[in-house]
Amino acid sequence: MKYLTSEEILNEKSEEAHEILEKCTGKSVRDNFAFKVFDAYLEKGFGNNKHNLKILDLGPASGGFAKQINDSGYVNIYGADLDDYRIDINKKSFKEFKKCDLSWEKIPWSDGSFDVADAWCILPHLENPFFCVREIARVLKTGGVFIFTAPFLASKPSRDYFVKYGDFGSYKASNNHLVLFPPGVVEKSVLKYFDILGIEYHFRTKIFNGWKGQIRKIVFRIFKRMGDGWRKKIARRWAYNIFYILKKKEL
Amino acid sequence: MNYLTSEEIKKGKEKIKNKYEILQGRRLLALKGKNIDIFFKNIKNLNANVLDISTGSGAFLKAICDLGYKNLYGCDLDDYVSENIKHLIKDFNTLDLSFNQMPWEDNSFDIVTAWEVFEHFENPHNAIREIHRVLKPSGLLLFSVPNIFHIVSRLVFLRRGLFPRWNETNNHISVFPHGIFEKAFLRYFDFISDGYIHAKISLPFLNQIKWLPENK
Repeated sequence: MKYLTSEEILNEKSEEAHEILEKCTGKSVRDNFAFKVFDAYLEKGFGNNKHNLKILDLGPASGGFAKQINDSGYVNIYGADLDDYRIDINKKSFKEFKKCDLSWEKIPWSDGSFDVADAWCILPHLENPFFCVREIARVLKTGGVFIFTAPFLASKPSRDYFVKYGDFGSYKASNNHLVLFPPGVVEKSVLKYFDILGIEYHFRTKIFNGWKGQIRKIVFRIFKRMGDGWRKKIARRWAYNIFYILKKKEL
Repeated sequence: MNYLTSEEIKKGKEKIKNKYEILQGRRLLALKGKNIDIFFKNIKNLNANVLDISTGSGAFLKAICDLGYKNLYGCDLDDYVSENIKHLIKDFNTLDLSFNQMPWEDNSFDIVTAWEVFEHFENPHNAIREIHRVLKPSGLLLFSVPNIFHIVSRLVFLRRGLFPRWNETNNHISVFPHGIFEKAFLRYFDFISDGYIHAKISLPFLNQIKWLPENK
């Protein structure tokens, strides 16, 4: 979907937006990678109590992720998006849903309302994700967990592409990604309010296609066996998305 | 200056104003006065209505006033304009262009300038829409941003995966590679021309190459 302003999405392009977003579930959600990361970190942080946590799913689009976690036992799921694109079957997974333009409006819940907030590839689409991050910090309890993803700029193919063309494949003029998150920007805008619990990298499974893919597969298996640090190192080289798992600071 | 939110910047007004006062001369040096040359070369009408976004101390408006331009306007997050420049500006308003609308009517200006501004905005898209609104049809927007396509920037990115001019110690937050430039600016404006200002390369080896424009 090409870049549209919030006003266009809500008015003249509303039908087009509904058509796209009602079918939209991010790649990392479809691959189940988002769920694995989400569940593993909450298990580590909250143990058996994880299913009772109050979770805010930002920009749920069709609601696919909320359905996934609801099916696995999470029950307190709330959602906020520019408009309601959730399909009927996924609506049941939410306790409450509110419309909100995350670039401009305050998230419509009071301070310290949630234990967890997730934003799967939402921040890069916002005109002002930095305001949204401040709002997330406000509605999270101290020590609350915030997980967000963004296109990963520093993978090997992405670095090579930038050096050659001065651009990033995931930020081309034809798509709706607006804001880059290089390390310096994450540091000053996000880590001002949050500490890092972990960073994960997600790569497309299609990199294992073909004969080159078979070699990659073998390399990946070897790195995986060598331990988690090595697995991350090789995943970072191929990653198209970076996952930040953060904990709200006590300010 | 470290990254601060609009509210934090407003709280530190006096500190920032003092910094502008001290840097008044150096601010022009940073652009090597090229912004004034570019302006003078492109804008022949001395009666044009000129709006300078994020006016700062007002050094740029003072410089073009000395060249004969009289209809000068400014806006910034807060009022940092030097006392000896204030009287040159016909109308000055404080506003946060990441969130607010400008208080001027549609089609009010012939020229809008924004020197080293957009990379500081949390929401440059709102600012661009507003500039488009207050500019007359065929009005000109002249602006500068850090060049991420510079050879050093590309090499550092290749090696370390980061942009040195968007590091944690400065206030740059919005990045404009080609795709985003097209989405943000070319949606509302036609491209006329671009140019580059060279600063000396600080990297060993590269700063020894005499024919590089940066080392001349």
